[in-house]
Amino acid sequence: MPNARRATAGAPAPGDPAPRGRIGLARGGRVANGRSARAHGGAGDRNGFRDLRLLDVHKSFGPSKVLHDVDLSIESGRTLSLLGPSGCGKTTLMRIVAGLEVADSGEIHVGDRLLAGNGVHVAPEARRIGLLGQERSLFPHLSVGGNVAYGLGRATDRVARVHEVLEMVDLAGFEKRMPDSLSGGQQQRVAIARALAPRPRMLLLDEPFQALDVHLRVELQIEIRALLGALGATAVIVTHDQDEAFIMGDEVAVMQDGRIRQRGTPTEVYSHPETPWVASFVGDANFVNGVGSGSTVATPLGRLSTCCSVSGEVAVLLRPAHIRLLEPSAEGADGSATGQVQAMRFFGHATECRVRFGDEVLLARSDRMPSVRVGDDVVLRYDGPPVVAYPASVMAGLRRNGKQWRGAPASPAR
Amino acid sequence: MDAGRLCRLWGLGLGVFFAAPLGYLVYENIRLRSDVLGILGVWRTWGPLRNSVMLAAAVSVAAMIVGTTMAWATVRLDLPGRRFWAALAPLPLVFPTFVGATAFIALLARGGLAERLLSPLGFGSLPRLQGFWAAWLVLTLFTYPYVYLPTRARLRHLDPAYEEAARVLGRRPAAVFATVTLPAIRPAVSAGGLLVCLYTLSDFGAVELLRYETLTRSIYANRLFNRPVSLTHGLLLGVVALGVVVLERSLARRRSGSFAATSARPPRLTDLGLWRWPACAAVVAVLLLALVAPLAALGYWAGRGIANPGRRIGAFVLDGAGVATATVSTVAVSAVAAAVTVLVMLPLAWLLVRRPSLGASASNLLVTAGFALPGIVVALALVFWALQMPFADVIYQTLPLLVAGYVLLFGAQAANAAQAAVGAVPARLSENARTLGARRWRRLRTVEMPLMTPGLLAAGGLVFLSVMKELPLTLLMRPTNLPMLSADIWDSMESFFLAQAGLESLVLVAASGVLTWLLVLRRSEFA
Repeated sequence: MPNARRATAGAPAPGDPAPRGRIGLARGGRVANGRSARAHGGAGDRNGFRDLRLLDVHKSFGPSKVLHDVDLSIESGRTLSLLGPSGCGKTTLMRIVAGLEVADSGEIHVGDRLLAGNGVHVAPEARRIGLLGQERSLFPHLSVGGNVAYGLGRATDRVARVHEVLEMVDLAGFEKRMPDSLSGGQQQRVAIARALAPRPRMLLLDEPFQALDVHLRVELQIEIRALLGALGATAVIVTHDQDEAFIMGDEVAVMQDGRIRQRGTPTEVYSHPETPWVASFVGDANFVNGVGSGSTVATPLGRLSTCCSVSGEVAVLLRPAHIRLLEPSAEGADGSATGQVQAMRFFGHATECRVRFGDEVLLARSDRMPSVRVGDDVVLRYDGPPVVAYPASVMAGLRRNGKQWRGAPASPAR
Repeated sequence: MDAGRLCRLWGLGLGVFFAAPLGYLVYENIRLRSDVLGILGVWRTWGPLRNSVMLAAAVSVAAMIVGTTMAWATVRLDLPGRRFWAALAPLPLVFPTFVGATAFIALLARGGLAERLLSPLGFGSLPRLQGFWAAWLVLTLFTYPYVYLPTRARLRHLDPAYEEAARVLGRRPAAVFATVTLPAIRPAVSAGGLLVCLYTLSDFGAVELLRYETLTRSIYANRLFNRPVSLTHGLLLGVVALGVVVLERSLARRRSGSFAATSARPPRLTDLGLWRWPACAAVVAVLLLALVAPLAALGYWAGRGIANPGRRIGAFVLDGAGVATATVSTVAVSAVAAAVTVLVMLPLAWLLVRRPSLGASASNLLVTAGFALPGIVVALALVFWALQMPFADVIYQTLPLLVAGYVLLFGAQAANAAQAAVGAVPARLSENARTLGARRWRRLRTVEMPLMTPGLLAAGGLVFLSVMKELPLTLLMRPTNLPMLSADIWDSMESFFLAQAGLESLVLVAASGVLTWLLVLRRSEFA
């Protein structure tokens, strides 16, 4: 058995996310070998990680309903990003899974074990779920080693296990240090090691990079992603940042007002958002009116092909990167869709233009150097994949409550 | 000479002034050739020392347990009426311990409230309240708020993330409390415990009334006829008190890492189910003992005195006019002492905040050490010094010397608060005023004083409160014809005039209650 494990770990099994980054490459062989695999190696899982299933979870705080009907499942070994604006209930959901809050109704299963529901509420200390919170919650009165060993109880291999998990996060030899002598990134890695040490059945990471500066955040995102992949960990990462959600998750679940609005791979969610709200939450979005007829839609930018069959009045999603701006004199500019450049922002790697187009203002982004100037007339052309369209009635509602638009100054819907 | 140099000289002088009492005790011990080692060698010395240390240790431990438990229960348990009990819990603070002891003696006295309530139930005679356990009980009941207040603040603001992390890592609630909650509140508990320990070591009134032979009692008893013993004990007590401070400081320094205690998330309540009723009963029982019983006992005797104006015997003697005079003069003396103390300390505070230097810190250290010195030690030093001066009768038991004693005792309190007051004036503002052409005095009058006033009033208020509650210094050093509430309560108790003592105590408790509310509790969450 140990030999078999080692072989598996040495050459990642097909379907495993390939280890990325230095942790994955350097530690891939250690992570799954020996003790850890023997200790809890059940059927079909590596390192004891299990799947998570949430059925119909409801939660209210007083009169305000925080979670409606949440159904969510994650296969063993997969990472899910739970993405939503602050206050959407995602942290509450994680606290319910960890056992720190009690759901009003619904069931929570990890592996074949019922953790909550049907009158059962397993105490947080008995759930074996690793939690990495928003705040830095390392115990300041314990050394790094003391922190990591905290969840190990009276296990006989404490020292070895502490060493092992610290090595996973590249902090071997830091056992004696005190948390306040470490940098923010190191502290967060210790917190991860501490969560991993007791061999949890799954990991919950609640905005784990929020307190770090941008540079460190990106570095740690890559490392943690690689580590989770190498461990074959089942993990949920809660975030309000769509970049982070896309980077960290095998899949993304988008949450709004206590409901899961869409669930899919990052590319699916970005290119086929199920609602206009999701479309504008996961990236900048322009909407133009159109009339659908089967697999095409007539828009002010011309007749565009759609990804799925539509009919009647619709709102069509156009990502800024798919709108090209041409000089009226340029070749291929037919002049039917002419707008005027209202404002420009040059980022170096990209240029953003706000273009007045009829009653609307559209945002266009290009990775080329700006060829137009403010005040210029330009011709707009759609240059992207088949478009996604929504019934106009859905759109009207979104405009009315008018919130949750990203990049407010450039927002085309105002 | 500029203001800065004046302040430095003043600070240096203060340091010397505050070091004087202990220095004088050392000097006197040598001068009188009081056989320190000889006195230390006999049981008469070790008895009181052992008693003082035992009592201080027992009271500190008990107060830490009661204070922490009360704080934890009112913050973390879903007790019925939680906020109400939480607001009442710090109030025993307003009883000076000698008033507390007075109240318990009055409660159990013949013809007192306890006898009246219990005799129909068949209890014959009540036990006499004296000795170690009596002193322990009284001191614990009236000092636990020193632990309760900081611990409660700490528990309320402790980030719940620590405890949640511990739960999720597989520890049960009791283990989480022991391994995370306790270490997190330890600084608050031990700082409170230090105050209780110092308070108990320096307590004179309660142990004297309850007849428990500690160092303070021995100093008082031997001061007239056995000076060497009194002096040696005074020195010993001073050294023990300073030793306790040094010990606590060094323990505090060894701790590393601090818990974030700035959480906005409210602490999570433990749902006790039916257990909430016995838990609530325990909290109420503490409050009954520490608050209701003493107030009732004092009120009962005061009431009986008022209801029987004609009876001039023992417990019923009541001199209403005397109480009024004592109140007025107590307020006057306290106000003078407060004003003088704050004015004397202000230059040092200014120095520490605006021109920090080694000399200023050294002076501050000596001033702070004065805080640890028991009142009776300071009083003893001043009395002996005054008595052997050639012009003794000019200064002994005069108002200026009394005020000087108060400055020595409560200077540290004022210095701390005054530093906060000075800190309330950003140096930037003084500089701005300067660039606008304001000279030193105009800056002080128009910018700095107005901004410092609230802080200085608070500093003065703290001193005022402490002076009102101070017993041994007042007792030993007040002018013979100056009535002071604390000393008068003492005199009444010596004659067992319970009605008189009860009324005076109620007045003192009421006054100190109002001040405590204004200065301590109003700023906390209870307002």
